[in-house]
Amino acid sequence: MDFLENVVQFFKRIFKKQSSIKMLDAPIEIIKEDKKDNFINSLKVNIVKKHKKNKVETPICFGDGLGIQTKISY
Amino acid sequence: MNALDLKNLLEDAEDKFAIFSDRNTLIKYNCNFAELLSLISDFLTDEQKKALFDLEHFKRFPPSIRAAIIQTINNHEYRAELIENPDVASDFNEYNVIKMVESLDDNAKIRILYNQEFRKKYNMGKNKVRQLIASLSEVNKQEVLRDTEFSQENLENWQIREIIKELKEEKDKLEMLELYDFKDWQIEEILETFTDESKIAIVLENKYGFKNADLISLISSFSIDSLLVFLKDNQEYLEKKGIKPHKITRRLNKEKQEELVSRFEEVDLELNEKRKILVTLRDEVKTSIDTSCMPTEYISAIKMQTSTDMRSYGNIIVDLNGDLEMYSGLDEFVFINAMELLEEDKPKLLKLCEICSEMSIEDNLGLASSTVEEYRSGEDWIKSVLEGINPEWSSIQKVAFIDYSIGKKVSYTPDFDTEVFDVGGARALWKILHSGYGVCNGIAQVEKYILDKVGIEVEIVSSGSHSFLKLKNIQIPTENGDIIQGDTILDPTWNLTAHRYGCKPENFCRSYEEIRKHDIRDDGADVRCHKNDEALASATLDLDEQSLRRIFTSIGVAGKEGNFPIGDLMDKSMMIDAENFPEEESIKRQFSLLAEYCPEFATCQNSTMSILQGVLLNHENLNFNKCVVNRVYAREDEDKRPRMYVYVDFPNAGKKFYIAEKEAFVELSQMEFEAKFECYEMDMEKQDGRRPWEVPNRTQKVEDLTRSSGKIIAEEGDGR
Repeated sequence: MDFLENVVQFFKRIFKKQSSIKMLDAPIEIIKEDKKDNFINSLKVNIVKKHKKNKVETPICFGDGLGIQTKISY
Repeated sequence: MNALDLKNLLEDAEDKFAIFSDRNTLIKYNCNFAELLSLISDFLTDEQKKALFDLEHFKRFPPSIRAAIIQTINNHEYRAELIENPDVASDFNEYNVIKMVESLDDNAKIRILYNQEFRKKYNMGKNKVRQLIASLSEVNKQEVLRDTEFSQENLENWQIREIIKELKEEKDKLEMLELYDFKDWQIEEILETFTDESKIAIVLENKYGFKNADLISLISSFSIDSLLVFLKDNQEYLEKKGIKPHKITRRLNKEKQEELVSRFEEVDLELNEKRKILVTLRDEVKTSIDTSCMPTEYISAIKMQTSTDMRSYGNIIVDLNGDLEMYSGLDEFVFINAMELLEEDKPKLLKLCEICSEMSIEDNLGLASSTVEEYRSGEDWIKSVLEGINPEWSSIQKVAFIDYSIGKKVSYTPDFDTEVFDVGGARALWKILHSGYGVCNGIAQVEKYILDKVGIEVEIVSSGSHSFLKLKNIQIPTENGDIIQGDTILDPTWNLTAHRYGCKPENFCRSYEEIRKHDIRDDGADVRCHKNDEALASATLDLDEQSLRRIFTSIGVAGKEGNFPIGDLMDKSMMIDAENFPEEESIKRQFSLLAEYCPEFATCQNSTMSILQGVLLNHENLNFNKCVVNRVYAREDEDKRPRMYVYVDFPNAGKKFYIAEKEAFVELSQMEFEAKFECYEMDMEKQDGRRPWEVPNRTQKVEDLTRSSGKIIAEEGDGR
């Protein structure tokens, strides 16, 4: 009896595999859409328009470096 | 048949020319050329003699004979005509032609003078032209000279002057002076040939606008008689002109000076001026004077030697070990290079300074001298610096202290590169210390002078555009506490801003490699201020930052952590900016901060400009379309002394002008500013004659970096 039951279970498992609980596939269209958006977004550059600083103009003096040496530090 | 027979034939003949013109007749007579010449001379008229040169057999005579025939012609016009005729004279030798021309009368000579082709053919150069003109009569000489175009083309300027000098009448010379554009000294040279009476009148009237040098030259050409009278009668004139009598007498030749000395009692001048005349006599005259009966004041002046060196020509060679009182009143001849004095001679110099308070103190640069007052105050300051040196300090600490002290005392001359810049004054050692202003080679000399006193080996080095120092064989510490020895570079002038404002000095003990990096501007240009491969190849020592801080901390300049005082200013300045005040308010607060931090900000202009550019006006929130810090002068100031100003074109507030007054920056409207102040010519030349606020602002192009320029190869200015 048990033997027969095992055999029956065996064949059932074979057929059941095909109809075992399937995970729902993610909709393909949605996956594609996300990937596309991500790709597009990765290409975008954030433009931060920075105002370019004008420099104070002074005479140029070779004698003491005025207008030439710029480093002032402490 | 002989010459006598030919003579008889000619005497009997009606047509004497026909005989000469018939060769077959002439050859029958056996006469030599001298005899033939004699017959030609005696029997033919000038026209006939001239016509001989149309005859073939006369044309074939040797050149010397043809020349001799020409010389028998009395009419000089005919002579000139024949000499100029290539068919007649083309084979005459140059020497003979010139002799023939010289023998012509004035009209014929002038004809030849104006025949340029003829003169060229016979190589009659300017010297020959001059000789010919000089041989003309007075009237004809002047005629030629009146043709200024001819004279200037065919004579050198000096030759024209020589001919004018040779004219007999002064009025004619004066006329020529009006025709030619001579320089002052050239006119003076011609006037020297005038009588003393005329010269005196010309000097007093000075219609030629002579400067003193030419007036002195002219006066020194007077006879001694006239000179003695002139000096006596025109003292007020000479004083007004600033002409000292000794400047006249020193130009006299030996003979005139000897005559002057022999009549010295007639010289009606004050004792000091008479001594000056004696001091400045020629050496050969001084040595020949019999001083046995002369007053001692004269003797001491005569015995003084004066320098014949180019640089110190005419200065008295001072004997500091002698009686210094004898130099009293002779200040203008007393020059001492105080840099070459031994320390033990310094008190003697100071004593001499008391006697000759107007004497000049020289230095090694020798471009300008310092006054006694400047020397005294400069030396006092140096003494105070030396007294501030801790004897325990190492050499490098002493160098740091001296460099710092100079930075606190001296500023860069603010009128550099302007039309009022004093080239010599900015380099005279004690003048720099007294005034507080100098330029690089003067400041380098100052620092070397002081470093020499503390035994530091130092050399002044120049790149051509800039001067600084090389410290030699100096010991400096390293990061890990070792001591290394060698050569290194110190630039006292490029350190001025750092020391004035308490910044870290970037030009203190740098290697050649490092300091050359400072020559590269933001735009990449190499200004080569420190380039001198030959002198600086040995400067391999570079003081590391940590050691630099330790050194300046040890001498009391930097704080305990090694930070320099400017940190305080920078922090406060940033805090002002962080408040994000409206632009006008923001800049005014920066200005107030500046005045509080450095009360002398208006007088150390270059350093202040650096700080404004690098710190106070260099902030995130302080925006401007254009900002200029530069110098102007007050229109009412005759000396055109430089005044610092700030011009700003704010995005909102518009154009603002701030002038640095003694205690603060003061705002003026553009109209007020322009009414009161003006830019230096040389500054405006750099901007095509425009003032900085007249130059359009450079527009900033904002680049969109996401868009392709379409270019394959990037060009300058392209953002990538």
